[in-house]
Amino acid sequence: MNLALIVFFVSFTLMFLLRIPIAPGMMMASAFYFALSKNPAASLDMVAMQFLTNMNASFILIAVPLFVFMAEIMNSGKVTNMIFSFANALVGKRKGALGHVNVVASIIFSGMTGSALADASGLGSMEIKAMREQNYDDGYTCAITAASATIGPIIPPSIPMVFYSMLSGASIGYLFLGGVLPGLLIGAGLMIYTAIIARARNYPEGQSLKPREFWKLTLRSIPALFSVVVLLGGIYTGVVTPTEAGALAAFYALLISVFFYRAFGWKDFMQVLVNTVRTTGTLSLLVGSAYAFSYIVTIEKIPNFVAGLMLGITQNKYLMLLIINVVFLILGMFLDTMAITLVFIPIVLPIINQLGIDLVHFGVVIVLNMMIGLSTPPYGMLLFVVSGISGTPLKVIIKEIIPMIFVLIVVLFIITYVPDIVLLIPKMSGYR
Amino acid sequence: MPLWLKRIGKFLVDCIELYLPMLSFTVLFVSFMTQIVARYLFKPLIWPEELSLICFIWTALLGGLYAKRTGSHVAFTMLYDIAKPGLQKAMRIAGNALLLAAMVLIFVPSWNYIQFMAYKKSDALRIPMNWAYFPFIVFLADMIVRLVIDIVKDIAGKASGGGKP
Repeated sequence: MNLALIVFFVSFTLMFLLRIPIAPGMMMASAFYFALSKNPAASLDMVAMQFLTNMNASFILIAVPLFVFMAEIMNSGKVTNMIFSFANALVGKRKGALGHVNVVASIIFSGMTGSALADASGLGSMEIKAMREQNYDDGYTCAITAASATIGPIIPPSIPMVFYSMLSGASIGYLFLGGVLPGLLIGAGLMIYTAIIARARNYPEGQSLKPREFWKLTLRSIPALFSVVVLLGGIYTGVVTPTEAGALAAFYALLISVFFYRAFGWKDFMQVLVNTVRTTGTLSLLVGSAYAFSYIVTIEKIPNFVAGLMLGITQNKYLMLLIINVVFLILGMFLDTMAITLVFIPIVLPIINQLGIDLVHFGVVIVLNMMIGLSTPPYGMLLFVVSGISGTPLKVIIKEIIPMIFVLIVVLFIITYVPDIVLLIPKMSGYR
Repeated sequence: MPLWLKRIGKFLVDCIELYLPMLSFTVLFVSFMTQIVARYLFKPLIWPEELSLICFIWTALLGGLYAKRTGSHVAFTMLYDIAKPGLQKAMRIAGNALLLAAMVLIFVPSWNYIQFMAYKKSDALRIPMNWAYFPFIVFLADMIVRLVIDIVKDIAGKASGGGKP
């Protein structure tokens, strides 16, 4: 190993030890490598060059700010409230109704947002408040909010899938469609768990609306629900590209928030823009910095090295998927999802290609895997978000979320070994 | 420093880190919508695609600065959180110093690269690429200034907002 590469790894490690933010941290590790490397393909202007030329060529990445913008409008206008009331009416009188509402609302909302954190912070604060008013215990309340938010980036649109598509070259449209059934499966799993727990702990029942009220509410929710149709319908029929669908749905959300629900003023719009800029800055800076980083990983032939190592253990693709799933679940316990995506996915992709594993199938599996990482202690962003919103200590939430993580892992292994659950809808829409 | 000067300074910083990326995102969104309308109703255009990519670069880099100001960047905080305040301070200074060194190291080469790109113009709008890429320089310069301020504050013992990465 040469000196430049050693310095590269050491600075990468220091980034974690010293709490250096990961985006500029990756720039830092790359800069030190470029300063020391004797490789003719390395020079100090590479950080800028890789960042700018790749960003200027990745048209698909524009989907990210558009999806962020859309979610911000939904959360700020009345759309999220509408979805919550509608889910409430849909669930009705069941025992532990608000637990079910939490899951159903997340399923609907996930058809509009591509980020688990947007789900937990927008819809989540509403759900937590409602559940507290009915005396649900804080641990369960926060845990189900976090666990159901996992569905957000599985059912399209999905920001992590955009990044995966960029890295692997798999079609973003088919990836999106592949997430639909796994997302519903997670919803079903969490609802079964909720039904069992609700009976054991005697959670309060919900209220069922009179038919007249139910239809009145449904009618008022239709414009909000229609945004899912705009997005999914547009992508499924191929009328618009997934990126365009993001822009259209954002525009649609803006229209209904302003003109139909009348809950969106100039001030709200400015705040939405500020939040969009901040989130876009956080996500895109990570991607941009990762370009130089993965350029180094490539010229040093690290993926080939890892592939050789892993393929030496096994050539069986089922066993390999098991190993990769377990490794990524462990990484998810400690690292941020974006860091895992940008650093580790490029390293395993050659293995996936070599073993002939379907890239769309693997994409949905690995995105779900990383979303589970958002809820696993000690480092789980979703845990931090729900704990921050509710003021509930992390320890209480972690105790309650462990059985739910188990449910998510069961779903993960089902979709890993029954690829058709992922691939059914893409195939119906003409995949392969 | 008189109050009015402070206000002007804050306004200028806001322009770079907040208003400019807000504006460039708005342009991105509008040109994207224009493209969709043009593609389905008239004929496809080239310039909206170009413009939205350039605006994306601007939004990403300048928005990244706003994210730095608000402490929104992702960092691995587990070890830092269990350290004692004295050690935390040392970690902050060391981390910021390393970042500062790297940003200073790549500043001139990045500047040269971006100025060199002036020869290339975008296909449709004929925008010189050094303009498109310029926010990278702004990003580095702003980061360098902010990192120096953070380090000086920490050493002088005046750091109050050191809690965020």
